[in-house]
Amino acid sequence: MTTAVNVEQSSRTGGAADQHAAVRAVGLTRRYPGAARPAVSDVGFTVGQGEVLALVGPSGCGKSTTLRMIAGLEPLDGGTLHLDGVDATGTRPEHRRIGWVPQSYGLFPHMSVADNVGYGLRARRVPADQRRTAVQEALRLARVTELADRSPSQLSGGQRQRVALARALATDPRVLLLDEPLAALDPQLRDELRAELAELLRTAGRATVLVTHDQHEALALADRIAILRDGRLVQCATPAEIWQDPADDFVAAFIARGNVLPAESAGDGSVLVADVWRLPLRELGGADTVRLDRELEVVLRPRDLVADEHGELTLMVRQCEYLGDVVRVHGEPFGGDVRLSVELPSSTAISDRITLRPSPGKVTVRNKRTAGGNR
Amino acid sequence: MTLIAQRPASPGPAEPAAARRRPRRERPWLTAGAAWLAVGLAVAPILVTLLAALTDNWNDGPLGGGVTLRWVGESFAEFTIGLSTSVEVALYTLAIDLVIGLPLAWAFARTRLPGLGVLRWLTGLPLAVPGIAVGLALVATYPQLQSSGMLLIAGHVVVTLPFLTAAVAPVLADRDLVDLEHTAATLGARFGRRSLTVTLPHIRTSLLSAALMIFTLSFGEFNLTYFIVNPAEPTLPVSLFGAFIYGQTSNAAALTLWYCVAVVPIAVALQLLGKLAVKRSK
Repeated sequence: MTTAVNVEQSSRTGGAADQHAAVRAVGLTRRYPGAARPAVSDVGFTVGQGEVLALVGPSGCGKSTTLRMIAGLEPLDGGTLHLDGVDATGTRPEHRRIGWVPQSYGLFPHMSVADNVGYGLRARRVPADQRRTAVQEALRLARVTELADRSPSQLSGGQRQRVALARALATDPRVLLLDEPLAALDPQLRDELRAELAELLRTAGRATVLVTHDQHEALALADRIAILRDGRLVQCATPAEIWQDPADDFVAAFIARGNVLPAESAGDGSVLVADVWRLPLRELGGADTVRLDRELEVVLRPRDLVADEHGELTLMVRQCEYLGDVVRVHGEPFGGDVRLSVELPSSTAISDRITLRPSPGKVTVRNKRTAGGNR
Repeated sequence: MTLIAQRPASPGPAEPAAARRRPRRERPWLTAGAAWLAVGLAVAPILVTLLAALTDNWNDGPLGGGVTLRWVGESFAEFTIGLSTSVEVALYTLAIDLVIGLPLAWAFARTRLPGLGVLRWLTGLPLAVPGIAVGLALVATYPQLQSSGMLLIAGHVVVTLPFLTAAVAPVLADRDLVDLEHTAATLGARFGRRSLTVTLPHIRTSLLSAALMIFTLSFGEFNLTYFIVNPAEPTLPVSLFGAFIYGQTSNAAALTLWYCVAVVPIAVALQLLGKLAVKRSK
């Protein structure tokens, strides 16, 4: 379970186990000249050896800036950065030993695939025989050996991605940094290559930080996910932890398209959710650990509610997204000003009135997070 | 009623005007004729110059006194003197432009230094000021530099520098190039290696065309040059002017022919570079 304390520890102090993490970022801050607020403010996290961390968030949240700060392409206005236990805060990018893959893949158009992959080794003056071996190994790992003599213009989007990864891996980097690795691909190809990329990252076994605005990508590729909003770290946890226990409504909506709703104890073994919905405590997950004398909130995801004519909550359907066997419905409960996302049978239509009840144990209740927990 | 029924159907008011309009007939001969007229207007003076250069006595009209190669032969020595001065000045101008212009273009494209806007404006200013005014200002300010030829080179640098910065700065500002340079940096390449292996290949076409443009402009520059050139070592355009004003028409025409011979390779190179740039952009 991720709490405010966990984020704070990661951001501020760093535990003893973090000392030899592949990446240890503490209080990263970046303010662009003339900007009203920092693009990145006091962001901290660690990435263990072989671990994949996804930085996610909406456009403009600071995730790419954070990645560029790790790469050394963006100066730090505050905070420190350690790579493999070595302070790299002021180190130039050419001396950081990182594997950077930009969104456009950054293949040098005037060089062959093999020359692209060998570029970093030549820059580091690796002897020719060792260079040849390392290039072959990187090409083999990325499964692009047969493309060695081709020009980047002769490659498909997926092939370019693999060549860019091979080039990044050839230099034996401390950490791989991937900026929106699948964003430049067609949606169909993206789904196919997501699994391929996950396998390649597993095979490479490198500490990896990747940036994405796609929650599916983050959930599929990452061991842990760091969610940013307005330049600040909101939550950093495993995909399962974030799914089960989002830090706040923003995280719930962004990762699971769910909701975190305010609630209060009704004093009769039930809680009143968003002033409109009375739910028996026995039907809620987490009910046995919650303190009823404090402020409450309820976490629900789109599949946590089911249509039931005897349900306690009546929802007016405002919008439907067809997903095949189900539709994702966006609607408003009568008497409440919240907006809920629920997945219901595909027969549901706009303007329908649906009565809902929670699937037993799926909707969870917890004590309201403090402001620090919602960083 | 029968009469009305037998009338041919007239187009109804609902039918759009465009549908009623007959397809426009193409007139390729009109385009071709206009093109050939333009070519004729451009080529005619060259043909007249050729005729004058081959005429023994132009005062008697075309081919007056018969055909001769005398003027072509006699003007060759004058041509080589002017050519060597012009080439030397153009090469120095190009070299200095590259040394000053590339860092300047880089600063325009990549930095936000204070005063850069003013510098950009000042760099482009000579394009708007007549060459005569620039020449007079230079010779009035630095008269001691005229005899060495340094003033001439400085003047050419002033008027050609904007062409280099204008051609190269936008390419240097290209986000793709910045991404490539950043990628090279993360792979361990320092500034020098990045510049040679990534930046230079990317800006090569623009740089080459700018260099050829600068060479050509400097080679053919007259307005400014006339006021600041060392009279003992005239450039080719200044020689041409002298020949037309003070010498025989046929001699001047022959010198003009030699001038054309000298600039043809440059024109061809510019044409080829243009094609290369188009090919690379596809």
